[in-house]
Amino acid sequence: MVERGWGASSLSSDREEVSKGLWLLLTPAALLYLITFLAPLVVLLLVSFERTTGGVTASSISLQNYADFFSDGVTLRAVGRTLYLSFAIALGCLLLGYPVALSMRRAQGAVRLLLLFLVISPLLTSVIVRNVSWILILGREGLINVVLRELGVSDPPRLMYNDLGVMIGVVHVYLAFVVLPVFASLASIDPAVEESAASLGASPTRVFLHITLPLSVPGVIAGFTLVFVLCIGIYLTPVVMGGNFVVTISMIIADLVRTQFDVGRASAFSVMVLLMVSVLVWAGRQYERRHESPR
Amino acid sequence: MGARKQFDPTRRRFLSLSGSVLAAVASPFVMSAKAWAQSKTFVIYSFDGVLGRAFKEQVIPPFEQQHGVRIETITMPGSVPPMQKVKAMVEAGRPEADVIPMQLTDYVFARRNNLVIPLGPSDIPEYKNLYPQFITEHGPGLLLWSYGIAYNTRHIKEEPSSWRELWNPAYKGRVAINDPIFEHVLQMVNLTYSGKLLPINDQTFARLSELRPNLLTLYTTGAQAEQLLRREEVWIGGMWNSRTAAVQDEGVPVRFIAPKEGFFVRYNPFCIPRGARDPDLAKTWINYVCSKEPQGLIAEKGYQGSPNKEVVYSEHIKSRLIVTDPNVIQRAVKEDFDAIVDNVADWRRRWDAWKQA
Repeated sequence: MVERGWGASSLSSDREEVSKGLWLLLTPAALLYLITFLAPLVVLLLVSFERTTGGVTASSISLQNYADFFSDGVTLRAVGRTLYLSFAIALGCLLLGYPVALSMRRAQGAVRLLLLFLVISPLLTSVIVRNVSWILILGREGLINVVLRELGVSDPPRLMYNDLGVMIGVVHVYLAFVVLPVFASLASIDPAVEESAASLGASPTRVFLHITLPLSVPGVIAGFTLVFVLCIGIYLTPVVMGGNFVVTISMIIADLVRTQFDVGRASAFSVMVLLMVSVLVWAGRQYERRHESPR
Repeated sequence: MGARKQFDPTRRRFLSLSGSVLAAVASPFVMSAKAWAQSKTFVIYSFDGVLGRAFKEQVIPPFEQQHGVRIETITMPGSVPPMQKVKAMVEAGRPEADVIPMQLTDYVFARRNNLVIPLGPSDIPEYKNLYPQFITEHGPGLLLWSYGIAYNTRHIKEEPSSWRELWNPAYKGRVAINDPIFEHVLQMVNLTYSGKLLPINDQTFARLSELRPNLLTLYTTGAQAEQLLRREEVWIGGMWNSRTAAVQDEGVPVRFIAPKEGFFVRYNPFCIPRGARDPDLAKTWINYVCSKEPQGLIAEKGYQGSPNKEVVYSEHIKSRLIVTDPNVIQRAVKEDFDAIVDNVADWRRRWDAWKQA
């Protein structure tokens, strides 16, 4: 009893030490977050109540910037377009990324590394260079249209300067954000589970639909949510690939700061976007948890 | 003992302080420690692209040599100063640069918010050689650039003379106009159909909608505009002369013209922010940039016109720049930048609605 008591006390003291050590390790990152993330957020929130007219900020505060967000049809349409694009892009990434993640799981050594490199390589290129380069392929005089014309298509479809162009441009880059979590989920599945199902006579399709796919759902949700949330902030790709006809909420916010000198309204709109993102992340996390709990 | 200033934690002070701290932390233009360490280092905002290179390689070195200083440049992305950041820094009493070249709408913002100091002929002796319309209360307007028509000479054999040519049905899907300085487009539409720049109204947007079938894209960056011309995606459009000239010199069959209804000329007032570390050196620098030799270099290397009457252009650069002689400068339309800043929010809202339609 005495020994156990001493042991328990020692364990508790060790835990406290570990806990202290952990806090110490976390402190630099926490401080960095405080300065570069939380403090700007507080400033953003405060500035969001300022009103600006003709480039001059009034000294009074008001909720008008928030009212503008909800009452202006142009802004609301931009929010709707952003959500639609985000959903379509996240879905596109999932449909294209899942098979890639599956191939990576089955591949070994160098092939797996090559696939990984191919998936992350778009992230290593400058966004301007990448988008402007797409003109060479998808533009009116681009590779695809030239080939189509050679094949007798007199009026080839527009592949750029519309929603499709934006989706292609963003899916190309954000694919990695789906592939990596899905791959992590797939890699954590014990192969013995699938082998057992197969040995009991399940076809490969059945094994995939009843074992592999359900067990990889947390990765799917994580990847989908990540891409969806990232897409809410897309700016440059819609500007270039959408020919500026695809108006997203980020474009409206950027213009408020740059051209209209209205930081107050831009801040209020940013706060609203932040709230939207928080709700989405929370919902994604809840859904993910529901799928994790049976395991 | 002097009166000690009490700390007054008002919201405005807090915001100013936070703004400057954030600006310092999050700035994309991180200044080197060396720049701060050298007392004779002088910091200016500069341009990106060809113009930035011209400044760095051709304009700055002679000044450094002559005055024994080292100039540290902070490149403005898109050659546009971050005015909100400038405001935060000026209000905090510590602007990071001593000279800020501004776009004209930025200048209105700076003037209205009292961010820059006045400059007169006693500060800038070179004023005597500048065309008076390019001298503002707070600095000289340098780097004259034009917004007119660029067209592809391979696809369009007859030189267009009017903005109306953009509406020509033969150019369906082959026209581009710009988005960031969209007020040029709106004023251009008015100029074409009513002969006046303002007001921007339903009629303006109705005419703009008639242009829509011809529009391939609304370009944002100069690099994008160049690529559209280079790839011959666009045959005709409202473009900036310097970008057209750069592509033309690569051998692409394009030309830039000033339409008969009028064209747009803008310039960058070079201003000194309040609280600048070395305003005297800043004035000397601005005076130097105004002078004949640097202005000639900027024209030759950066395709920008000069307000200096003494600058002599080569025949080659004369053919690339529209604004090389006073008669042509007179043909440029006179924009009301205060009206633009006052109305830009409403215009932008309508512009975005038009884009979404």
